[in-house]
Amino acid sequence: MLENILYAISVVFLWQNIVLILLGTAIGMVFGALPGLTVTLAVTLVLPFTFDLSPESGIVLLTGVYCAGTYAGSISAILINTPGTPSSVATAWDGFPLTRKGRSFEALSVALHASVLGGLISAVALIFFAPMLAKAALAFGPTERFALTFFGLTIISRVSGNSLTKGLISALFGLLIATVGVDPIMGVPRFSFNTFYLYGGVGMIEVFIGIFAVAEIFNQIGKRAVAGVLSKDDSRRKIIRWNAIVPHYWTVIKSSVIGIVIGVIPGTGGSIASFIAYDEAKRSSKEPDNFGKGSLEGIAASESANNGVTAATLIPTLTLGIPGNTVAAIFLGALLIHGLTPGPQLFENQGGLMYTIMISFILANVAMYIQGRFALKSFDKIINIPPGILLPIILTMCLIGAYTISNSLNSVIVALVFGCVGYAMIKFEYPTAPMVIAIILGGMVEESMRQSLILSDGSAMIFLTRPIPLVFFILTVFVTFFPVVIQQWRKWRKTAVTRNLKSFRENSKDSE
Amino acid sequence: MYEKLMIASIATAATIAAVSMASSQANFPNKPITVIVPYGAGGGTDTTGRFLAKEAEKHLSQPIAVINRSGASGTVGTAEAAAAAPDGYTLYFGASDALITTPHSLKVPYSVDDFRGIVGVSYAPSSIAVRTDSPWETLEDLLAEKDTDTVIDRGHSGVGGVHHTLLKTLFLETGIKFRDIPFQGGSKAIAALRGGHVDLIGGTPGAMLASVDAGETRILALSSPEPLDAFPGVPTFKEKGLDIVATVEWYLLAPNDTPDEVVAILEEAFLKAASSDEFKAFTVTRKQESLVRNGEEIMAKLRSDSEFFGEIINK
Repeated sequence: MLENILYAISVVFLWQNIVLILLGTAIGMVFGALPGLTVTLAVTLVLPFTFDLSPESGIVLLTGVYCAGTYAGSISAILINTPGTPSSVATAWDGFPLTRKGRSFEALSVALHASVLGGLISAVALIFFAPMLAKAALAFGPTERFALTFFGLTIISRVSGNSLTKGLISALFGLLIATVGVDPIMGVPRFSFNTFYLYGGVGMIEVFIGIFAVAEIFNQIGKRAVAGVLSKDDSRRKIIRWNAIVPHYWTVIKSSVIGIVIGVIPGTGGSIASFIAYDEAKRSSKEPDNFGKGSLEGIAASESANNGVTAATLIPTLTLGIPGNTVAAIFLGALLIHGLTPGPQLFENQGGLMYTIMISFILANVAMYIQGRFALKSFDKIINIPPGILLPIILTMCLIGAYTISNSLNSVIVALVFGCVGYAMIKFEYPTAPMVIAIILGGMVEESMRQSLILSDGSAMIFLTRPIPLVFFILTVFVTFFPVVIQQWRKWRKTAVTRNLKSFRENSKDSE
Repeated sequence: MYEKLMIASIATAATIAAVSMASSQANFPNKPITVIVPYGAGGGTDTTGRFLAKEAEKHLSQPIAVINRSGASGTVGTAEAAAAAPDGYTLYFGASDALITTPHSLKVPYSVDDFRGIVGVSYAPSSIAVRTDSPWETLEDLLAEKDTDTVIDRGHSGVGGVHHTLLKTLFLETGIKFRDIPFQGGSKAIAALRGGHVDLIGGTPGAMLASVDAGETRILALSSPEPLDAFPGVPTFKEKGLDIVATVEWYLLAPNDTPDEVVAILEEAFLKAASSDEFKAFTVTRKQESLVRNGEEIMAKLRSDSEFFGEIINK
């Protein structure tokens, strides 16, 4: 292992490869940050250029694009409420409210630090634990995956905002959307209305573009905000300080670990990790009410978790060939072209190449930090553009972005339809977060549950007789009911104490 | 005077148009050619299609652009290619599932008959595999289960695909009891097998090679017409007396009404490209078996495959 690490360091620190990493992170950052351009597109475009490079150099370049692109999704999430990837959805929940309050730069700064720390923790953890984790990932079969994703769904109740009823309606609508398309077990089309574009389901990224960006643009137009400014100008001095993240260090560490653990589980991806980390940060926070309205802690949790996933998700991607998200899928395709075969013995047979990937992850995060410090000031200027000019540009880029997903107008229609749905939800004060979580997790929950029930001949006991699912179900019950129990107990104790106090006073009065 | 001028100019225009039309057939291709790949960028079919296009550009005077029209398991791109103008400038590079098996289980606006062949470049068989700690050492051990009450949990890459169809035939013909657990993609099925969540899977043997080398899984039989060098000692179903041949093919097609002379030009260029050593070496890295077929041969294969899979899927 040590000689592999030394070999990897000697490869990555060649000057050509350092230049490639800087180039890769710059490309990734621009593509990730601009609405409509995605990190998936960036990796696809860079891929052909790696054919003429050595396998190591090609991987170094792609790693740079992948890391920086995943981080930069948070920039557009914070500034214009358009998460570039499902995994920065939770960042938009707090990032955009901060932008509206004129605190965008603080949000960007925390996101950058949290991302870099999450990425670094993930990469370092992998260097030491990867071969072990690769083995453990196999324990996750259908039953285990159902327990995990079901646990993820319970978060819905805690991001519903003021009205749990509206939150549940929103979540059920999301689950309904997730059932559109060819059913994963029987292969029968559902809710496709014989338009075979819908056989593949409603595209997730198109929905996000609609629900977040297009709906927000409609909302701005509706408020006649076009002539004004998008946000108050930030009077604070715009300097990125490393100590901005210090108050959130525990959140960052916890969230990164959540990111790593969930990233290792095949086929789950970054989004569920950032939801769970966000939920956990909210639960343990001193100011849980601030979450969803502009909490820096929420951004720190979401961003360190989804960057914690970036390196960890490569374990199932490379050892099992199961990519956690579309970017990892293209990354996998690139590695295949460079002669790397995913398989259980990857660490033994191609250890040098594997550690090259991990060392490049570390370097890419460092490069990302340096470039971020310079670039954020320019990105932050976006919010000073008058909305009358900015909104049409964003709308155009979002629709072009939707078009490029499948190179067809169908995706644009989906984005526009969900723009209208999202606008209606804003107007009638329905929270969109539960719906988005349900769309992302719905398919996974359904598929794994039905697979499990086939294996058990229809008996639900399969979920309670295996150790990992049992732990998750106990956890689910705990996080769902514990806050209620605590609340009731406090209330009861309070009344009991006052009653005791009263009777004590009365008693003492009597004795007087 | 004025009228004469008009007549003359119309005549000239008509002549130019006629000449250019004639030459457009003779000078094919005189503008860039587009190849539709119905899957996302970076996948197996996409990279193979792009490599083929790159090789074929050497033999055609025009550039070839590969575009990805992904969505709905390849049916979106396939439908678009089937409806494209039959002028030879829009071609289709695909793999068996979207064109051969899907039309039998889903309502799609195309069929094999909407296309004509240009070249078939490679194929991959299906296979069945178990864990190395499984009681079934050989195919015979598995077939012996037909008279027992053992219920086998079988996994595969998705309903209605080539691998699922193979399992369906095998279990129908032998009468072995089973539970059917579909996964989204072959890699997930392999992981489920390795993790002990299913007993047996059907899938591309190339994708299983890594876990076979690691001593974790064992391939019991291949569905190729003949044994393959890449899998020494692994029998085919045919050798063991079961008439099961199922393969995934990779091919380049054109819309059915594309003129013969245009197809002839394309066929010549793409046959050269597919036969080049570079392309053949590339298909090996993608775990495909190189097998170059001309337009007639690949269409004959696709029609008989379509019939074969249709019969099983509708059972």
